[in-house]
Amino acid sequence: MGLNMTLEKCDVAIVGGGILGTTISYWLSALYDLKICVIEKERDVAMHTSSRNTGLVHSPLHIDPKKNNVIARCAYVGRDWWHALAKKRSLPWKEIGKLEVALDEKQHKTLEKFQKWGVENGMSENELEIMDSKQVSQMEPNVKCHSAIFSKRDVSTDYGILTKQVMMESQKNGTKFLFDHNVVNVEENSEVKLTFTDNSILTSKLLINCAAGHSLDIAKKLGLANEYAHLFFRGEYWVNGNQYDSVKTNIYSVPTNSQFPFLNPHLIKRANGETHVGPNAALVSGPEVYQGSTSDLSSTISEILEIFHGSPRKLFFNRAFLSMVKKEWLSSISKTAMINRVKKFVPSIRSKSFSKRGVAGIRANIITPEGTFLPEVMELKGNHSFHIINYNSPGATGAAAYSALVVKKLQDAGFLDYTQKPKNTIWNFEEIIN
Amino acid sequence: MKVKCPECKKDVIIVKNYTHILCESCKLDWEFKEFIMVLMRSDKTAMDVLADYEKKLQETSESYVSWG
Repeated sequence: MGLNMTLEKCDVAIVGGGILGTTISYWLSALYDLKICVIEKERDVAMHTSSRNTGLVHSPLHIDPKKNNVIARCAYVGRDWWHALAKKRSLPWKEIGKLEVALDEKQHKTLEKFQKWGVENGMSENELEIMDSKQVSQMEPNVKCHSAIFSKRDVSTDYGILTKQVMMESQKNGTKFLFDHNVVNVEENSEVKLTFTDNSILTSKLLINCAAGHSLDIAKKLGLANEYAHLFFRGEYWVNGNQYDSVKTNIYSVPTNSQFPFLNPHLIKRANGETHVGPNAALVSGPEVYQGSTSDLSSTISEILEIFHGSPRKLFFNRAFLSMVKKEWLSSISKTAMINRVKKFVPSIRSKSFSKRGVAGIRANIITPEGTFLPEVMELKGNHSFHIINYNSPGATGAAAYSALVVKKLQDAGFLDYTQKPKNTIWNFEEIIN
Repeated sequence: MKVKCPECKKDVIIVKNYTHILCESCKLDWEFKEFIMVLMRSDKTAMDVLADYEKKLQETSESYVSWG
């Protein structure tokens, strides 16, 4: 591409070909006849977090309906929407459920709260069963616990494959996917101008920023969210290489630290039949640092602090945070340390059975000017731009439904002042927006 | 927010934009990064986790798991 070559102008440019950007492109292309372009720096969609995750379709039992009912509703509706797509296109879909275990009475109370939240978030009572230790032993003989909750709606799938399918559906509607294009600059005047690494330029009437771990950087280029910072946590997995499998379903444990948005490592049954242990949450220096680690944590922290500025630095004064960082880092450099966290509820699990590392993924968390983790998604509006930042778990589960809500917000904000020309859709737009 | 000096346990002064941390009592001026390192080393619980692990490493002859 030549110097400053202007690519085709478009009506909507979506930066980020992950599950969120791709599903937004689908909805826009299904409802309008617009020139839509999804810009992705990799050679395909879903090359990062959208593929690098547990692959679980989560039921909304961890979400407080009073605090985050939109994300809960998206997760609830989203499960059935992904099912419809998987069924229609014969994509991976294993309805094996999820067992979440409590190790004591205090954790059992948390399970009761999750059951209540699940029902308030739309689940039926027979989809969430509280079990005592004997019932758990009958279901999963290798699991030892005080009690558990079994969520029947949880499913193992492959979000990378689902995203690729949505891309194809979007392409059928006319969306263009521009791969291998890395945005290096953004300007917003009467329209948005995106400059890429090869100096080529794309202009658009509207920019939708879905760049995940890079989304805050893009927003900051337009003068938004300057007082916030991103931190990146790598979730690592170990794969069971043994034919003998200790469990039949996904086994989670009650989160032990509600101050931070991370779960303890669990046992995951992948859609491809593999069993993984993970993830931990090892602090790393960037959104795509999938490999490598040092036995010297100080060097890692030092590297991160070099790029972490301003008042979000308050977070590092939090001793609980520093302790969490050390504990998670230990699970990164030691397989035994990771497996031992699961051994608390599956005592028969053996470190030597987990012979190779699984595919690691990165979770990008926004740190507020107060030095705390931002618990919810951040949506920001520019004059000709809309930014989605901190869109995290259960993000993939709810992505198709949340994307429909984003399109509705864009309509309401006057960003989509075009005549609608709806096509046949996989999912019902009205189901989520009403 | 109040942050204690890891040396004398008195409140430190956080210089604007979190570039430096001053302890008037100890007459110390840390760069932010340097201060956090001191704080981490003074976090006994977390350091004990690491010390225990290193001890277990010697006992079980497990090595750190390489990323290759």
